[in-house]
Amino acid sequence: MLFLSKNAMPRRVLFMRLVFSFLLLLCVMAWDAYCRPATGPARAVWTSSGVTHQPLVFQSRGHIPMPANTPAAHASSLVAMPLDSPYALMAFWFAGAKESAPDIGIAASAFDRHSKSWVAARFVVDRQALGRALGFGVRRLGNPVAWLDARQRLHLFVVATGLGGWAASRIVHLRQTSNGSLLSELSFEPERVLPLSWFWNTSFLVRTAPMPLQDGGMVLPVHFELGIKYPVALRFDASGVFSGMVRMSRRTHLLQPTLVVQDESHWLALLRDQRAEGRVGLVQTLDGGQHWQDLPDLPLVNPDASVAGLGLAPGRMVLAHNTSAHSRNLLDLSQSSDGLHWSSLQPLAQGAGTDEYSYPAMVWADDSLWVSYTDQRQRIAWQRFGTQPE
Amino acid sequence: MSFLQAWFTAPQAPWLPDVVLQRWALQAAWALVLGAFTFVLASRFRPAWRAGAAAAVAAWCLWPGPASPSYWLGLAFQSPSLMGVALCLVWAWRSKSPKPVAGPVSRALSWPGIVLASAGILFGWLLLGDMLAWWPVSVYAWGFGSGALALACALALLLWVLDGAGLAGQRLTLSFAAVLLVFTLTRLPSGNLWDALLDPWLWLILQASGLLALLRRVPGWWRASPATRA
Repeated sequence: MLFLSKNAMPRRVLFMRLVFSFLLLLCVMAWDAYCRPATGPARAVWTSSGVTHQPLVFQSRGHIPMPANTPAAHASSLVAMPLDSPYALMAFWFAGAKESAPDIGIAASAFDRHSKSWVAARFVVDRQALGRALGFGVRRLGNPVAWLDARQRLHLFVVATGLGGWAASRIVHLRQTSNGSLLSELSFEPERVLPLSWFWNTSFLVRTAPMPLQDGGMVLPVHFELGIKYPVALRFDASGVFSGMVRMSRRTHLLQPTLVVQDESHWLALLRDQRAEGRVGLVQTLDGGQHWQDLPDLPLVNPDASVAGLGLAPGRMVLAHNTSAHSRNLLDLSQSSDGLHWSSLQPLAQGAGTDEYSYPAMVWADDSLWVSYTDQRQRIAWQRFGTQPE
Repeated sequence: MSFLQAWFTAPQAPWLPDVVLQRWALQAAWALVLGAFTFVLASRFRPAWRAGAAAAVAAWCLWPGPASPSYWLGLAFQSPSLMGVALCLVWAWRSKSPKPVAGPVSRALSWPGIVLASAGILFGWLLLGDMLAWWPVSVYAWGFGSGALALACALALLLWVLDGAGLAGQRLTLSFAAVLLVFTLTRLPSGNLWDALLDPWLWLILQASGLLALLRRVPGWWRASPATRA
């Protein structure tokens, strides 16, 4: 009323403006409620079907073929393909002259069900074409993460840097545009840059696999890494539309969360620890990702390296992680029944000195557990485990 | 109050802008901002030349690909906020008059301007702190929900109801309301209300303008001190 004293407005005008404002506000809210997509509670689904508690045994291993003239490879992502596809699974990773090089693109290969081998790799995303499609430039590409939506369309979430290094990254969401089922026909177009931060939309990165939901959607774990590191869970609906974000931890040294299902509403996230002498970090949600609580670190060492977890069945979880305190030259597969106590299941790669076996990814496809990881930053290695020897 | 708090902070699915519209809007927004800057900076030239230069710069921004400034500005800063675009247009419009023009934010702010500028500065700090995980809640995520939009609309309508601060105040209130209207209909630039109302550049300009306004009000003894005179 202080303001009104200087400009005496007739009470009738004031009353009319109040009524009009109230009605206008109601209209805006009604329009917003009408147009806003609806979401139900998030309920997780197990990624493997028919898995019992039979032990996993090693079946086969090898390297995924690289595109020609690409000496560097890193950060693979695996996705299980539907039963009517010629492929059991597809792999995506970034490759080029070296990490952060201008020629880095997103490469892909697929494991052919008939020939039981990987098909020749090819690039499916390059930064120039991505920049043209987005309408603005992209400096560097990295860390692809693949997902198959309810309509069996592939989605790729790719780190794309702006002005600066990895800390100036954004996450670009691409969607499959090709109709064919062959890798040679596979093409993507950008859907959008995910809106995750007010500060010029920096610095969010994606690395680890999404967790599927009963409604056909998924939860994509991402992290912030400008100075501090913290994990964030993003939700997507069955057609791949971004449906919300929730910060997962109050701690600021944890990144690259990997999600493991305990039950449909109880999920664990295991995280890379940026600190020296780090341990695998742990957070949990009991209400389908609406709220998250920090838990004490696991007793597993973490040399500031990405981990990959997978909930195979109730009471059965696996984790691929580096088990040396100060290097990435040991990569192991561990198992757990509760997500808190882990025991070694199988060594995946063992090296010495500056050898690097890192950034594991896992998926369940064709009754097998598939693991891929970076081999010396030059190639992507893979291993297959099943319930029976091959 | 608990109901209001729950409504404001409840997670809601974002309603995002159309993808094609979003790409065009990024270029159009930078075209309007750079066009307005060109129009103001070319104030010494004849009106036809000013308008021509501004139109040329805007057209350059709309050019597709790396030859366009918007391609590189988008790489670094994504899209300017709707409020930033609106204030640049107001700035350019005001520069048509022969009186000197101070900047995108008026030198002599009306009380609606002071309310909006103060809210913008405060909210910028809240959003920066949110990005750096200083707060226990996620302020940026609220910008996707209905509660934030209702609050901003209520503020705009309150400024209009209490209107009477003269033309400058009306112009700012109208700009704020127009931004909310465009956001309500299109969800530009990102689907998040805070991105529509405030971008980091606008936040920095608001703070610089506020600091200058405070310095202009320093006591006379400071400005008249011998050291200052010397």
